[in-house]
Amino acid sequence: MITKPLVVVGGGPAGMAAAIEAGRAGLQCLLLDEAPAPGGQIYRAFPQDFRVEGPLGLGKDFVNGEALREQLKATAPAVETRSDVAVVNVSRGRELLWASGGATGSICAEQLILATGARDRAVPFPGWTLPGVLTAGGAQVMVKTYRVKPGSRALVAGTGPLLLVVANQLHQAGVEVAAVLEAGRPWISLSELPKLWGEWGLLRDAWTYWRGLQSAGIPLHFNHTVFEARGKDQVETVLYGPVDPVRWHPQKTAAQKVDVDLLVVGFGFVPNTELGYLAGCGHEYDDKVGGWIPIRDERMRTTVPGVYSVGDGAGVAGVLVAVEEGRIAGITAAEQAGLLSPIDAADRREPAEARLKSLQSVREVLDDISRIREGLLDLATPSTLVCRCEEVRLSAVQRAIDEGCKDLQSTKLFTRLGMGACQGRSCEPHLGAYLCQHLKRAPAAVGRINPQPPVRPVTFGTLAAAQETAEER
Amino acid sequence: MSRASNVVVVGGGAVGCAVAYYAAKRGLDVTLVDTPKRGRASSASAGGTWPLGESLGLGCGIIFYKTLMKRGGLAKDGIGPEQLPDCFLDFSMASNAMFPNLHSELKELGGVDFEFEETTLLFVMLDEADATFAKMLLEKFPRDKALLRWLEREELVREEPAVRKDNCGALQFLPDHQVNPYRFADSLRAAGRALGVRVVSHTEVTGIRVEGERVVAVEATDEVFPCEVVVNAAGAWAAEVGRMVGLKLPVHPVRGQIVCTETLPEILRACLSTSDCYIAQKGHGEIIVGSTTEEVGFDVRVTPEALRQLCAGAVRTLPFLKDVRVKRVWAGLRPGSPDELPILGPVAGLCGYYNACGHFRTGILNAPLTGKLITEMICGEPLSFDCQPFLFSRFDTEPALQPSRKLRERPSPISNRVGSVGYSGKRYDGFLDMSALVDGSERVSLQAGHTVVREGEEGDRFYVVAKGRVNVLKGEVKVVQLGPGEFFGEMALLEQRRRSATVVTDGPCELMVVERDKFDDLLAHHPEMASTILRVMASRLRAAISDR
Repeated sequence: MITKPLVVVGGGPAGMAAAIEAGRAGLQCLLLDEAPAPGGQIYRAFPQDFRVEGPLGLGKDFVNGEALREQLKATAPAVETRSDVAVVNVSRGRELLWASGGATGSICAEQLILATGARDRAVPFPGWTLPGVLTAGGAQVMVKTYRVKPGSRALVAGTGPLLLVVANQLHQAGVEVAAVLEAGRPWISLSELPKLWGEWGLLRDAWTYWRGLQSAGIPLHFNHTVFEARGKDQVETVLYGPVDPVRWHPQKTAAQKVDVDLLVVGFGFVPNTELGYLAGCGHEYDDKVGGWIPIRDERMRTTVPGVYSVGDGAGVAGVLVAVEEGRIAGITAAEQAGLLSPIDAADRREPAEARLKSLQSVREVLDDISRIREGLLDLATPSTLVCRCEEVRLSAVQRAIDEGCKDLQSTKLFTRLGMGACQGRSCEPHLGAYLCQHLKRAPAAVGRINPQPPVRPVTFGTLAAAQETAEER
Repeated sequence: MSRASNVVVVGGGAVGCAVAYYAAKRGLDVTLVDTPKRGRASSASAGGTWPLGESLGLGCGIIFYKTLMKRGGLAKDGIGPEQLPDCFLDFSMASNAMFPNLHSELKELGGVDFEFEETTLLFVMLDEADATFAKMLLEKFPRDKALLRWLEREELVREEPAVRKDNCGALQFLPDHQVNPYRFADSLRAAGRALGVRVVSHTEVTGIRVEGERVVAVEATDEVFPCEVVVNAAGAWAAEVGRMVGLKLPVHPVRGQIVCTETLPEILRACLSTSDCYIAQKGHGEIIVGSTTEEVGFDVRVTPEALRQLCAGAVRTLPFLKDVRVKRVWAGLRPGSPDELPILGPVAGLCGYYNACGHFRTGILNAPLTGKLITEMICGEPLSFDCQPFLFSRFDTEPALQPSRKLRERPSPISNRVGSVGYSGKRYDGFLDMSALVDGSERVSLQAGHTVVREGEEGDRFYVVAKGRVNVLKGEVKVVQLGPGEFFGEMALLEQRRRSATVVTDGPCELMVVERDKFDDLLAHHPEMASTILRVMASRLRAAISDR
C-alpha cells in the first residue's frame, strides 16, 4: 500500500484551503475529489465543454471559486489533485479505499483531512417525491452549472439565506418565482445588528439578495412553509401556509393554494460524516449545525490522531467558515509533519482564527434562525413516503414504534427504511428527529443508521480488483 | 417490582423470540427482555436455512479445505472439511421441517410474514478440487441420498443461467431453504405478543438473582423481573449472562462479514455455496454474499480484505456481478461454541436456569426446535428430541474438570475443549528425525519452566517435541501435555495469527523448530507427514473456530 504524508478528501472550499496551506508549507499532499474538477458544491466548476466569456456575469461564487482553484494550482507539485475519485471506505483510522471509474486502490494517509461537505436535508411532506420538486442544491446545479431552466413558475420554500440566493438565480434564469417561504422569523432584528457589524460583507450580500427579490416583485413570507405538493405526473399545485413561530407547527387550516410547475425546497444541510465515522472518530449531536458532527478541538483535530475534519462536513456553517477551517487544518498538519515550527504555525493560523471568531456571531444568529424545528415533523401524513429508496411510508414507522422499536437501527430492520441505494443518508436526519420526538428519547439513544462502506456506489468488479490495483501503483 | 413471571427470556434474537413464542403457546407467562446490540446475529444473518449445507461443512468448512489443498500434500481422496455429528444433522432437519407450518401460523397470529422461501442450496463446483470434495460428500452422506441431487454442467447452466458456463456442475441439497432474517424474529415476537408475551425492549439485563440453588429474579437496568425460570438466549453475549449465575459458558463472538448488492430482478433460483463464499438472492432482490469466520471479539467493523475476497469470490461464480454495485457491507457476531453445536437445557446445581445459546451459524434454522424443546424442558414434559448431545455438561468430560460446588471458580470449558480436541496424541514418528529432512530446522535444548510460546503473541514457528515434555496452557489452566513426536505452533504457519495457547517446558526439553518458510518444503517432500499435520490442524482449527 502506498503511503502519503497528507490526504485531503473533498475538493470543496474547505478541502482546497487545507491543501493550499499544507502545500505552501511544503507538505506533500494528495487531494481526492469525486467531482470532475475541484470546487465542491458552491464553487462547482462548469462542465469542460462550456466556455466562459464574461466571468463577472457569473456571479461572485464563480469568481471566488476560480481564485481558490488558481491558488491550488500554484501549490503544485506539493499538492497533487486527483478528480473523479471517490473515497469509499476508511479503515483502521487512516487507510483509504478509493474508486475511480473501474479502478480502485488503497492509500495509507499519515495524516487525513476530511472535507466531505454537506447534503440537502430532506423533509418529507405529502407529494415531496413528485417530479418538479427539487432541493435548493439541485435547483442551483441546474441553473448555475448546467444553465438549464428547471421550470417556468416556481415556489421556493424552506429556511435560511440560501432561499434568497436560489430565488434570485431562478429569477435571473427566467423562471417566474411566485413566492419565497421562510419557515423562520425575519432574519435580522435591530438587536442583532451589532453582532453582525464585523461581517459587513455578509450583511451587504443579504441586502443585495433581498433587494433583488423586491425589485422583481417576489413576495417573501416569514413563518410560512410548504404543506403539500399535488399533481398527476408532476407538481401542479402547492399548498402552503403559516407555521407557529416557535416550533414551526403547520397551521393546516390556513392553507393556501398556488399553481406552479416547480417547487424548490431548502431546509438546510446535513453534514456528510460517513467517512469520519468509519475512521472511528467520535461524534456528537448538535441540531444547530445539522445533526451529527465529529468532535473536534480548535485546530480541527478529531478524536482519532492524525484525522482532521473541516468545513460543512464537520458542522454546517457555510463557505466562509469552511475556508478558514481548512486553512487551520492544513497549517496544523504541516506543523505536525515538522515542516512548520510551532511559532510559524501559530502565526499562519492567526488570521484564520480571527476570521472564524468574527464569523462566530453571525453563525449564532443564523443558526438560531434556521435551526430545524420539530413542527416540520407534522407535515408528513401516515401515507407520506419517508424513505423513497425503499418506499417506506410513515405508517410503517409508526407500526415499528408500536412494535417496540426505539432506535433507528431497529426501525430500519423492521421497515427496511434506509436499506436502499442512499443507505439512509436521505432519511436518517428526519426519521431520527421523528423517533426522538415520539419516543421522548435523546438523539444519542435513538442512534444512527450506522454508516457502512462503500460510502459511494462501487461495483463488485472494482472491489474484487482492489488488491492487484493497489500493488501495481 | 414487576408482576411475577413464570419465564424470563433474556435475548430477543431468533432463538429468544422462538423460546418466548413456544412457551407462550404452551400457556406460560413469558417476559422477553432484550437490548439491541450492534452485531446481533439474527439481523446480520443471511437468512439461509440450510440443514444439509451447514451439517456437511459447506461455507466456511469448504473454504478451509481449499486452503489445505493449495498448501499441497493433501491426497485427492483425503480428508474434507470436518462434518458436524449426525445428531446435529438430525436436529437441524427436525427444526427445518417446522418452518412451513410455523410460517403460516406466525403470519396468522402476529401479522408479520418472515418470507419463507422453499428453494435449494447448490454446492457449485468450479474446479476439480470442488468436484472431488462434492463426490466425497455424496458418497459419505449419512442419510437418504434422495435428499441430494447431482447436477452436471449442462443441468446447472439450465437451472442457474447466471452461473459461469465453465463450471463443473453442482451438488444440490433439496431440503435447504431461506427466510428473511430480519423478519424472522419480528414474526415470532409479534405472534408471541399476540399470545401474551410481555416484550421489554431496550432493557439491559444486569444480573440474575439466585437463592439457594434456585433462580428467583432477573435484574435489569430499571426493573426487576421475579421469575421461576430464566432462559439465556443472549446470542454472542450469552457468556455474560452465564456469568451472572457463575457459569462459564464457552460462547464467544465469531464475526462474519456480508456484502449486499443493489436490488436486482430475480436472477437466482437457489442459494449457492462455493469454496469462496455463499450467495443468496433475497425476497427484495438483493443478492447477499457471505461470509468470513473471524475471532475478533465484539468488533463489528468490516475489513477491506473481506470486502475484496467476498467480491472476488462472488464474481468468480456469477460473472455478471462484476458490473453490479455493492450497496452495503456489514458484519455480525455469531455465537460460537467450541464444537459448533448449540448449548441447550439446564445445568447441574442450578434450578430454573436454561441455556438456549451457542447456535453459531444456525440460530435461525435451529430456533424453532430450540424453542419447542426448551418449553418442554421447562414444563417437565418428555422431550420430542434427544438433547443429551447439546447439554452444557458435555464440556465436563475430562476428569480434571469435574464441576466443583462453587461454579464461579470453574475454569473455562472452552479452553479445555480447544486443548482436548487439538492436542490429543496425533503423533508422527517421522518428526523425530526431522532435522535431517528439512534443511534449516533447528534443534534446541531448553531448561524446565521455559516459556516457548506465549498466548496472544505473534509467532511464525512450528515446533516438534524431540525429548521431554511440554505443558499447553490456556490462561492459567493446563489443558494438555505433549511428548516426543507431538507438535505445536502449526496454526501460525497457516496464516498470521496470534498464539492461541502458552506452551511451557515441563522438564528439560529438546525441541525442533521449523521456520514458516521451510514448512512448505516439509509438506511438499513428505506427503504422509503433511497429511498428519493437516488432519490435526483441521480439527484444531475447527475446534478453535479460528480465522479462516
